[in-house]
Amino acid sequence: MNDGQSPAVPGSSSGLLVEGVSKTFPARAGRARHDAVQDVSFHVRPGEILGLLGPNGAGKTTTLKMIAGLVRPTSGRIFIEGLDVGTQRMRAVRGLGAVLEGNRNLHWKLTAGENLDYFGALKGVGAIAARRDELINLLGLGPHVRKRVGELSRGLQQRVAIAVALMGTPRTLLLDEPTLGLDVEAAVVFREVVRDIARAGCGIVLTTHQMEVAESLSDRIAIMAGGRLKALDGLKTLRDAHRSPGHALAFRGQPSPMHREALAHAGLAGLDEQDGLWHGVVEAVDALPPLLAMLRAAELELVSVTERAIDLEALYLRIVTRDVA
Amino acid sequence: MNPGRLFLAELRREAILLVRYPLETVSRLVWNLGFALLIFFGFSAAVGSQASGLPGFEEGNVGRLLGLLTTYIAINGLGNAAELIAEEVQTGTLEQAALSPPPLVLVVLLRDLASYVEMLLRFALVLAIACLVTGVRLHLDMPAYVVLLTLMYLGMEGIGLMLGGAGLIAKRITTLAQFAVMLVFGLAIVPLDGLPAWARPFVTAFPFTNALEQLRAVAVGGTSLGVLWQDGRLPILLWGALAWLALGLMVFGWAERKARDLGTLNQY
Repeated sequence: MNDGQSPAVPGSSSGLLVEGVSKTFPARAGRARHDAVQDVSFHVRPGEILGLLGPNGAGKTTTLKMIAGLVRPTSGRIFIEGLDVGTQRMRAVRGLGAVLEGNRNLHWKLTAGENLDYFGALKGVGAIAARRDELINLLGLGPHVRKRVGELSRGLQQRVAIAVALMGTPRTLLLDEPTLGLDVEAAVVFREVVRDIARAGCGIVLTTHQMEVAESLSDRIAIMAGGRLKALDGLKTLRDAHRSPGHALAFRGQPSPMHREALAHAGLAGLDEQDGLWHGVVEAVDALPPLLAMLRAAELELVSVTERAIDLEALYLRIVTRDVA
Repeated sequence: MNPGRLFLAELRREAILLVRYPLETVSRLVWNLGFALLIFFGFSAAVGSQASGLPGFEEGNVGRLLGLLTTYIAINGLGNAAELIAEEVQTGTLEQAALSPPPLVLVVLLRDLASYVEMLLRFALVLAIACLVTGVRLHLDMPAYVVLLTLMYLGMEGIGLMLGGAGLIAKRITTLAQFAVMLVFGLAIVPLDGLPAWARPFVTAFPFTNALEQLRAVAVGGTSLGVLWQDGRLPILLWGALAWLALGLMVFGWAERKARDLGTLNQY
């Protein structure tokens, strides 16, 4: 994974560019007017994977649907390979593949191969058979190509759905909750497939509620809440920006009640024993030297001092709950 | 984007499903044939060869079979686009169609036409068997039948596209579609003399009634397409069908844009 920044580049002709996009759904029977997405901008380069995170109703799927041209933005513009989805939809979506409803996007009564042939014609693919065979190999669908989609496991259906999305050789791929409902093995295979697709130069936007999926696949993370983009950066940069202050400290030995009280008084919080090691947290950096001296004096063996890290889940919750608060 | 290739892909899809589900295919054929024979012998028993009042059924055995065929195709033309939208929305495949390069209306139209080709072949078979069983003899002017039925279908498809467009926005339009079918059928079976003067030209020029009248002229009287063209009946059918189709395409296009605004295009 890289942590490189990829700022929006107005006029950029490569990859996907989302520029100040908003969507307000008008009031309809029984539903009030709703600002689903507000002023969202980002750029996804060829070969890059952007993980789009957010709670339900954050505006992720609406954003993907606007990119796919299924929902028309109220304002803002979206470019795929330099082509405006709003005014050049037919040409722009040639460079796009999308799996927005997972396995529901397929004709279940047709086989995997027949689905690829049919959607190849729909997407105007020139050499359908060659492209179909290429994707069957890439996605490991060989043994299943003659089976009806309805007979396949969910993981295989998901792979067929991705193959369908890739039939038009898109430069940008949208994946909405791609690992939802997959078992562990299928999810592992799926991640490899997604990495292979990105390596081949396809920019990918994927939404997920599974933090480990986003963490393991994404080059950059975007977090949406309340229709707005709250954070967008490489995971390391986001972690650094939202890191909790202080250090985690671990030592071996048996501190007496008096030592524990002294350590707590010196700034070591949350002291707790796990698997023979004592762990605690020091928030103030200048409290560290006296604490380390106290450990030595008490003949307690220092094992590690590390900067407190924040995992993606905590980072996500911090950003999202900060917004709610 | 090549509409010809897409049409062939739709035809292939139809063919695959016909072969893959033989029980469904045979059942459909048996049902159509059984219904045709039921109507035929039912009317024969009830009114002999007298007038029945139903469109196309009033001129004896040939008319009964043609009336059945035409009515069925007209109703399918009307319902296909609406059913297709409902089915694809439910299965989720509408989304792939909507985010593919061809305009959605073209995908829907080509799929309906592929379904029409299958229906035409099925009914040719039903008609042939029915003729054998009943002893009815038709003037076998196949080009004329195909032209007249296709023009009628295109006209009815226009109305079907309007219903399909409504389906993109409102999602559940089953009752509206049933109402439209009954309205069309009702318009056709009301005796022309019983209609107000202002409504007669409309009903006469309606693709269903117009095509049916010309089909009967071909089947019973052996009238050729050339004669139908020269006496002005075929041009009326042609322009009427194209006008309904154009109106349907416009309404569907508007509904598609509206659905993209409202976000209902791929809701289910």
